[in-house]
Amino acid sequence: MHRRTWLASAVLVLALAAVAAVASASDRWMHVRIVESGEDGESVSINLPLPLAESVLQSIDCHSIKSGKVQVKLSNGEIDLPALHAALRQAQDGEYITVEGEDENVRIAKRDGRLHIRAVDDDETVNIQIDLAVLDALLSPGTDEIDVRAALHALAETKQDTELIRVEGEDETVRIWIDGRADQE
Amino acid sequence: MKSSRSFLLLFAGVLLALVAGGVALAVAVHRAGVIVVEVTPAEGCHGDRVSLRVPGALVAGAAFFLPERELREASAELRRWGPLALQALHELGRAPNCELVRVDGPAERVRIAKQDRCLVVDVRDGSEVVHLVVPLATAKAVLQRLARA
Repeated sequence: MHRRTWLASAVLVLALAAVAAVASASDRWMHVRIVESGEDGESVSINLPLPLAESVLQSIDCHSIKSGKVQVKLSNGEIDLPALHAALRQAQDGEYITVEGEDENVRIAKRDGRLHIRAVDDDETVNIQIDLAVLDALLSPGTDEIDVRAALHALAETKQDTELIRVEGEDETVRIWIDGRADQE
Repeated sequence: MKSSRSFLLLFAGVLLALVAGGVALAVAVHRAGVIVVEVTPAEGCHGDRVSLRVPGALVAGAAFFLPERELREASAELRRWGPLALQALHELGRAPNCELVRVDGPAERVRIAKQDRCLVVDVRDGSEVVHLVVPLATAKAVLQRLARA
């Protein structure tokens, strides 16, 4: 009986250790990579565990940023962003906006639960993709604020690796992405 | 006979307390880690070489003996960003070893990493190389002391 209790305790301890290890390993990371071209170009790499970014943001209290929320005027009379967001949420997948200009092409589409924005001009190409769940968290209904902390939390909950932003210009390349790795290899 | 037995018991008790205190101190010093500051001239450069290694526990302890007036001045500055830094240190403590920031330029290289419960900063420019290791526990203890002032 005594031996059995010891065995059960050992199994319990091992199980708890395994859960803790998995919980730690499953942390999501936000990566930023900026590479300037040319001989004098610098490269910058930033790797942040999302829980760190989230809790640091929660602690910031200055000017228009409070508890991870940024005060902005979302409905400025010209564009009602919350209404636009609600309409987008209900709409079916498809390409919504295509602008083909002389200097610039812009495409906005909804596909597989994500909003895809692509803008190309003479100097650079910008690709943005954002989960609608993250967009939901970002835009709190009925308030003039952007909840960046909630968006980070939603990003942390997303188990898929996501490239949020990619800007490819003549002088530099910028990438921001989320994955489960601590490094940028 | 009885008094010599009492004396022996007392002696054993004191000895045990000293050993336990020593072990506790050693554990605390080990856990607090060592603050390292190293400045060396870059390859092919001349200059002073500085190497400083201070137990983190000593620095954290010294923070308790800082003059209140100095502390108040420092903490007024810290009041705004202290909670933020403390929260960051707490979360950093939970994170695995990782490279947080790396900047590679033609003239300068900066690397900030978390390594074995320490924040490690390496800066290399044309003339010198700076290597800084700050145990997270020490940074946290000093910030908490400043916040209490």
